[in-house]
Amino acid sequence: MPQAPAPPAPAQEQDLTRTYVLVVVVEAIVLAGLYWLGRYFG
Amino acid sequence: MRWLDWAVVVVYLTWIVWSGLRSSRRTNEMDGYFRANRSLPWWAVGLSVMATQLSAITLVGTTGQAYANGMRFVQFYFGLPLAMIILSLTVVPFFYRSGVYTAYEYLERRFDVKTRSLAAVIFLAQRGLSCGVIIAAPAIILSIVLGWNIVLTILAIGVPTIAYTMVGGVQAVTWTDVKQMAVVLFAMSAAIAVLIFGLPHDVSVGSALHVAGAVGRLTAIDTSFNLKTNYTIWSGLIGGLFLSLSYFGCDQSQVQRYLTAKSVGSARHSLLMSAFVKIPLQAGILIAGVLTFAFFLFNKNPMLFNPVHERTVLASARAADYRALEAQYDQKFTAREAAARALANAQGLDHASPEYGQARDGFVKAQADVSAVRAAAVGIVKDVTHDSTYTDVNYVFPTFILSYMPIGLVGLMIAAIISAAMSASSGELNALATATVMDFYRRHINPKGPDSAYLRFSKFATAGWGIFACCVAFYAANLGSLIEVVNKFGSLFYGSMLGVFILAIGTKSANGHGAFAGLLVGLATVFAFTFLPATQDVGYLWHNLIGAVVCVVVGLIVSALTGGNPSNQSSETHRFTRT
Repeated sequence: MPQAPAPPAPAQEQDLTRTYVLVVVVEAIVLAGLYWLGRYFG
Repeated sequence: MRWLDWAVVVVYLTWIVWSGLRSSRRTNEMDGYFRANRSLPWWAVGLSVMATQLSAITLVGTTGQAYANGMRFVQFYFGLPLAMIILSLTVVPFFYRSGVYTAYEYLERRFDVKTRSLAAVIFLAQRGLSCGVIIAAPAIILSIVLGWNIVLTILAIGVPTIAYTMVGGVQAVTWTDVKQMAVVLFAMSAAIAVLIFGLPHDVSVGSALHVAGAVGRLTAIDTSFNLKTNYTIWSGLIGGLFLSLSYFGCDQSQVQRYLTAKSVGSARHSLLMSAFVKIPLQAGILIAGVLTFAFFLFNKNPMLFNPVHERTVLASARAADYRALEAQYDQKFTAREAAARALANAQGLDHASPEYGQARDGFVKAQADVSAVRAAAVGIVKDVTHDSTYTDVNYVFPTFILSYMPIGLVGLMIAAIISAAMSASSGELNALATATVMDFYRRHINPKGPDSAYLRFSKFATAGWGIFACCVAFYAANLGSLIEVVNKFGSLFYGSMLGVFILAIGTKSANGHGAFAGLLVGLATVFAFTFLPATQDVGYLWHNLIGAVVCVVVGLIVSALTGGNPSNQSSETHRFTRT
């Protein structure tokens, strides 16, 4: 006897932890790049 | 401007108004008009968030700052990415799920009507004035460099903006913001290309940057901890964090942007877009200013960039002094050009060698000589006009555009400056109308009216605020330097407004009396810091931290003295929505 399909799970919110970490990493890289810009061309 | 440039500007204005009116859907309902039925994609909301913040004065003022002082202004944005993370975790899901139309609506649910009304009044006063300044600043610059009539220039920016914002509501604002950001980015890319191709054939971009760097134009980060310096890495990271938390978390002109997103996730992504893009974008605009500095080392620019003040001086008793300075300037400019070329051509040498050091010292001295002559000319202008705050940095980039950009691209750049003014002011007009309707008309005058009454009133409110902004712009245009004062006036409120939302969302024991008192005392403290002689030198980014801390501390003390929170912390209205 075919089984009835399971009810859809409630919509889960996307976990953005990795995106937040990426924001911090990108900011650190951008700040380091800006610091290097001043040192290299200054 | 030639006919093709005029055609570009007219086509741009027609296209923006037409597309703004056309992109509105179901704006005959409150939710459609104020929140776009929560249907907009994250990238459109994200671009709208950025467009609302990027005004015309950001384009011409930032490039001018980089020309005159280098890239230090970029530090202003260092707290923004961290603020976006904090807001994504806290305020965004909170506002989105609470179903509010305005940020201040929530303050009544959590505290009382007086706190809501005070916060809304502060927002309306601050943003109403700021909207006028946003329109006035580019109008003044365009009218001076192009000789346009100031009243017509203000109307050319203000009337189309009022038209599509009034008819299309937040949807028209968002979709025109997307197009306006595209125009701004394309035009700035074109300007950077013209600046690079305008360098002499024997001077590479790298060499030009080395020359600009020799006089500090590429120094972006100041690691010193000095409270009196406006832009350091610390004032940017800490003061800028509090400023961004307040602006993106408590200011209706930004909160309304992400309330239109499809979901909480989309709203978060729209803010995180700025977290990734904002600093590189501002750095790019500042580099355009540094390249303008390098460009004008090899291409002659006028001694002063504001032609109106130059004419005023030439018609005064100091005309002979000014003419003498102009002769000196020509001589010093030629000497500096030779020194810049010598330094650019010395880039192949070892930078520690005496030959390179000599070329570098020669250029630094030549630049100091030119700066001294310009400073003397500025002194004459101040003397003649009795305007002690006179500066011509906002005219540097428009002078480059009009003098050196090719036909067609001049029109595109003018369209970009108008675009930036329209996108920033349309978001503000829309938010001003929403707060007027929701926080005053519906709350105090007509609480049980039909949607049609609120929609009709919101269109009147948009038109009313638009007319008010244009009137402020006419007034500001006649006052000149007061624009600076009004801009600083706006920055007085952010910290205390943030403090009241921290009390609302982040504490359980605060009550309405505490929040109301905290907001007032926070504002009074920041005003005192700004105007008292002993503290007025403190960099303004720190005012955001001071206002927030004072508001929270006073709010908690007054709440404790007045019986704390009677609703006893169980209400959904004052807890973070955890995800």
